[in-house]
Amino acid sequence: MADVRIERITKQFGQAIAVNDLSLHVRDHEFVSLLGPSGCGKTTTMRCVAGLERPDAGQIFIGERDVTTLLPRDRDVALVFQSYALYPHMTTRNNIGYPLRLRGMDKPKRDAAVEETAMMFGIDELLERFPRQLSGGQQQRVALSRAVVRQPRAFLMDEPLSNIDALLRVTMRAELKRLQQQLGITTIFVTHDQVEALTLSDRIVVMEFGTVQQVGKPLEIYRQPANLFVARFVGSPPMNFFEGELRSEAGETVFVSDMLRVPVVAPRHAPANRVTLGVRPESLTVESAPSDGATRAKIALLEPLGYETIVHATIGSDVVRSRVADGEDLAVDQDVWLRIGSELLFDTQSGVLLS
Amino acid sequence: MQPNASASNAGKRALVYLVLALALIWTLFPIYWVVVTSLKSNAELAASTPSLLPLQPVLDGYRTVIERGIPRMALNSVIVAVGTTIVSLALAVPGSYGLTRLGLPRRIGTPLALAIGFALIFPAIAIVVPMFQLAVRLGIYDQLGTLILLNVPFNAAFALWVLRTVWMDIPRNIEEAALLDGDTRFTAFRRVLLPAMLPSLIAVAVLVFIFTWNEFLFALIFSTSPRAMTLPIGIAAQVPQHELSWQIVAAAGTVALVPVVAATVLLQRYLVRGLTFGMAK
Repeated sequence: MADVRIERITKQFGQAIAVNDLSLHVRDHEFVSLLGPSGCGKTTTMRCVAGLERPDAGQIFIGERDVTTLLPRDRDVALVFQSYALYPHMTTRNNIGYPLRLRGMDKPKRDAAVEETAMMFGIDELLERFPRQLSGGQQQRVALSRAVVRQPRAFLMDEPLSNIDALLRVTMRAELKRLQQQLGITTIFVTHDQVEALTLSDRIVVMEFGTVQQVGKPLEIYRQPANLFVARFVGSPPMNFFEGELRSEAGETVFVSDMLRVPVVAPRHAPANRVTLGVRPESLTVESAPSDGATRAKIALLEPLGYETIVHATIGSDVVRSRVADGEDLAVDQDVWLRIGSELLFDTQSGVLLS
Repeated sequence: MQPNASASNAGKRALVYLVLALALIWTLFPIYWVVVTSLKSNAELAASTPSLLPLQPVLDGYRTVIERGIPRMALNSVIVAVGTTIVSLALAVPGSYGLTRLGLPRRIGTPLALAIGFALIFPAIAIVVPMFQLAVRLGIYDQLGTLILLNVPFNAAFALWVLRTVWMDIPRNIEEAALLDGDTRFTAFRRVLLPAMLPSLIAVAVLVFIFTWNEFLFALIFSTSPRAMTLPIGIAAQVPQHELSWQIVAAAGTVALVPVVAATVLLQRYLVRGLTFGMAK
């Protein structure tokens, strides 16, 4: 096991810059997710670590070793692909044992290691089957076993949960977390699914346009998004945004827009230009009677989820979303009053977090 | 409603089976007739009402065929067909891999593939005369090796085109997984990719073998003596040489049928795949 250091790598495909001067340090035993929309460079970054792509500039270290120019086979990392990439002509046993075979391990030792790993993933009954005879979830477990069995210095996972159905995904997610806690192998996990990133990771790297937008613990990313991109991308339903400006009124700082007047905590650096107020749906409470500081809105849509209800309300022409625990007494077209609990302020132009 | 519906379903099924039966007779009867004819005596063949089975099977046809050197020609055919298959695949397998996997820019890869594909539509008759003159100058006409050399371009191009679609169907990730598991590009090719594509490879090999086995034009022009004569030429030669003997023609035809039928029966599950390459799965 080892840490992975990415130092200022850049990778271009023709004119398109996939990864732009990106640096990242994944510590030993750490589970780090690369999170971002498709085309943000997360997969390319991971493929550079695997050795499947060579960066145009920059260096990659695994442990103390500079692996930038090494072949994939010499890096001692395992990759789990979204498509599983099992060898179609080999049984489960041979698929899992393949990396050991290439390392020259003799058959009895190999079989023992394969069986032990298969047991861990509950696929020891399937060792003589071929991939085409396995379900998606079983193939996934074979792919994970093949990665685990060789005890690599680092795990790389490229959207490993995206191809399985929703129910199984939740199970596999928990299983991955348990696996990582048990084995403690340094893991880089690529995903576009914020729930996977938030639930699994020690730290999340949010990416866009080939660059890192923010690195932080899941709750840091959620509570203190570094900029508007991260704020928009993380959280479901997404954060509500209001554009306006800051005014000083009677020694207080107030956010003012067409529809809203909200007293806010003054940011350290008050910007000269316009600001964006961000409010998470759970920080927006819905009240049925007017009160001081609450803003009038009309309910446009209700999405009951059982344990909570997502309320879509209109303030003027803006649609905002709030999540409330108990929405039974709410009705569409009803007038309500919204109160902002906690808020974040961003510089509208640069997108940077101000609060 | 329901009894009616099932009645019309049964009617449809009957019609389907009827069409299938007719198609089967259409394809199999000529083969059957050649084999039966080869076993009939000349007297029986002269009868005005032909019988479906030989009344007294005789092997005279086969005896004559052996006397006239057909076994040698069959051996020549085997050598040319096997040789062409091996050389074509030896070129097409790495060629198609390179075209699809080495990251050639599209503006180079596509024209290259099209240029190779052009060999498939190029009429052989257009080059046969200059090629023959060339072979005469080089002193390599009337040789089995020359026939292989002539058959390879078309068949290698065919194999390359088919295998290209096969490579495109094999996910890149499988190769990448092997590279990470400890393979080099070459060992990944040999230990993972080649076995994964083996069924398709067998199908292509059988098709190339059959094409070459049936090849007539080059064999006719380039073989001037029995030492390089292949079966199709040998069989054709039976027709005008002496009196037309259906018995002999049929016996030689049966000899020519055997490997093709055997290959088709033995490898039919691969052939079905081979004939549906690149089609949606």
